[in-house]
Amino acid sequence: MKKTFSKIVAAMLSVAMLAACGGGTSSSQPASSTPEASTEASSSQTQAPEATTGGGDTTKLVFWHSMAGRNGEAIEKLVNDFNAAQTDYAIEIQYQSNYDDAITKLRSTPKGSGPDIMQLYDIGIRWMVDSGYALKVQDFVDRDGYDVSDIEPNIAGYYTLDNQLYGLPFNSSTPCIVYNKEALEKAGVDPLTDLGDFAAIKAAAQKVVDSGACEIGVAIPNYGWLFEQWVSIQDQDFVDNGNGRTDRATKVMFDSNGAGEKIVAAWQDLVSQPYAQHLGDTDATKLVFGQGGVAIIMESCAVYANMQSAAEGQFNVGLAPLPKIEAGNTGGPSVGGGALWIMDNGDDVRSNGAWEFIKFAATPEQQAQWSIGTGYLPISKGATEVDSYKTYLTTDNPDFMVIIEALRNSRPDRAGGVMGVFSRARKIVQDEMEAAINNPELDPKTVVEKMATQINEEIEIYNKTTK
Amino acid sequence: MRKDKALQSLFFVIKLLMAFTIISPILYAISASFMTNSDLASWPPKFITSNPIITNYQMALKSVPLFKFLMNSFLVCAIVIAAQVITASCTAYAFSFFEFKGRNVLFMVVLTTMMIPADATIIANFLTISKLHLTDTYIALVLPYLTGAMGIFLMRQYYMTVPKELKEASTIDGCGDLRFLTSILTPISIPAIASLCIYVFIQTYNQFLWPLLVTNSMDKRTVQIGMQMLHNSEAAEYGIVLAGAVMILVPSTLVFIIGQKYLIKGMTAGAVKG
Repeated sequence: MKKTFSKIVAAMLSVAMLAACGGGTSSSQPASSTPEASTEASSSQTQAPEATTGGGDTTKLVFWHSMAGRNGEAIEKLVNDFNAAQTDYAIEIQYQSNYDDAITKLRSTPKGSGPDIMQLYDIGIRWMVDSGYALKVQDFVDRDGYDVSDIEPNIAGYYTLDNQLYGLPFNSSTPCIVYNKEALEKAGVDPLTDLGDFAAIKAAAQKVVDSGACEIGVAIPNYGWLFEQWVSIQDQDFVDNGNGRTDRATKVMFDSNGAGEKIVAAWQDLVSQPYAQHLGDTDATKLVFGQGGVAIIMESCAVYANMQSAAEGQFNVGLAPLPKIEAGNTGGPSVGGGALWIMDNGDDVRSNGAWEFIKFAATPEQQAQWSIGTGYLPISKGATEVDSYKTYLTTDNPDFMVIIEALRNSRPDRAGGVMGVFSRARKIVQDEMEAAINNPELDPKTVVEKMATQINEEIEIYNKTTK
Repeated sequence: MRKDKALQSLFFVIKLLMAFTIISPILYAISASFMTNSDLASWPPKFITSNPIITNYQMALKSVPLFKFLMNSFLVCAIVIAAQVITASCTAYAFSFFEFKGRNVLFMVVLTTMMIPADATIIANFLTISKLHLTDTYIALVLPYLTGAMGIFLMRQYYMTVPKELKEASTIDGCGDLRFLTSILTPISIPAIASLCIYVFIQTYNQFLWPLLVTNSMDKRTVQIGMQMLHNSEAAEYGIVLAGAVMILVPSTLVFIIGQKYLIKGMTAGAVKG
């Protein structure tokens, strides 16, 4: 008997050794299972297991976000500042991968054990409202008489349905032209006056190529977000029911109101010119731009710092407002990015804490710091008056003010469409657009019809399956 | 003879070229992880930078507690591997050495679980873990992976090649089932166990969605989430992402090198005893 046991032990040991060959030494097991002091000073509260009232009067709150890299560091700083500024609440930030993964996780988390504050992308607003996971920010605004006049109305407009503010904007970006300053200078193009609409862009790109400044004059990345922007710029609705704002959208509008057709036609026309080229998606286009291969691209303003570091030593990067499809367009671009949501956990103390935090995140000082750290636009009007931000705008990033001005000149009622299946819709637009760009013979009307049919199907399924 | 040698060296050169082609993306990743952003964006592309920097590594380690994540991944892998080796060899033993009613049907049932994609069960598993209040624990990370049809199948196929006479001879000598499994069968199936270990390691090490779902705090997370944390979607800094990737690549490469030795050793040992 004894011998059998010793054999078993020997077998176990050999198995453990094999396991050790799989990477971890067995001695590492006890070491890493004890809560040792984190070697990184990155997360300040790590030991608390779940969000409930901890010791004393401090309420623990959980904040889910999707900011990685440099932006992740900026959000950590924001939360640390909040925790240091008051003692009633202690926020633990938890990164939950990108917005889509975070939604997946939220969907499968039982109510009450999810986060207290959540960051979600712009186009997630309809889903958030329909799902009932979040509390309306407007209720807190009304209760406390909070003054929302400091928040850029064109940014807040996106998160407002039926005059009710649902999420408080946090990280905002807007689409714009990103250009190679030296190339435009060499070609004699004034970015402030000569990039206003598609016709002007064509002329400018021609000049760039003629002057030999760049091989390619202009490239538009195939990005569904830009398509949405150009619908807005033409002062048209993307979907019905007041752009999805008075009620849930039932079908797209860009096919019947003609906006989509004009975009496809203008885009196809541009790409078929010898001085323009289709380079693929945003990443591919940015890569070529960073190499100095193309003079004008269209992107989110949040890429500015990144493009600058890629172009370092070669050229300077400038920003200009997104061009109109036709000179007479009266609409304006809307914002992208994300907002902070107060999550419904059935606990007033926690939701009040979440409210305190999102108010803190919206203050001019915090927004100034956030914008400098990330390249997002400040959502607070007052941020441009903060000293550190003034210096930033004058020395580091002078073109940012152009974009802020462009956003301020836009109209809150052109805040952009809202629907529950926006990420699907964007994919459909991109797929059809890709076909249209690669085959200029395709009739724009057919392209738009194809987009519309597919998106309408998605909307129908969403409306049937959501409550 | 001479011709043979020439031919051999020619083949060797071809093999070397093939190996270089296959490994080149990794070599480029290592090289690029030492480049500045403008080096990465330069045209024509640089394969080796003239002024290598290590700031990418410093930035990667600063923004993500990568070592902590590595330790977590190791711990999870070790537990999963140990559990899978034990459960798979015991189950496979039953399937190959015992005669019982419904054995084949039962084995088919086990195999069919391989047909269900992991993505389909992941949410259901997560709900179970939530109900058990196990979220954000190491237990949650390993629980659904303690056994697997792939391991059982692999071990069973190997055991089927072991001659029945071996078992009969042991039985005559008074050796019980457990002893036969631990002191006779396991030593000769080292190559199978080694390949199981490598397979399970790679699979567990590369997990992303499951650890993301069941963990919340930084001190329970694993390396693949760390990689995602380095990737800023709007302004991707590839130098930093690649630096992180190179760092987490080291353990898997080591595992493969060590595992390969076991594989060969075990295989020859078995061949002699055949």
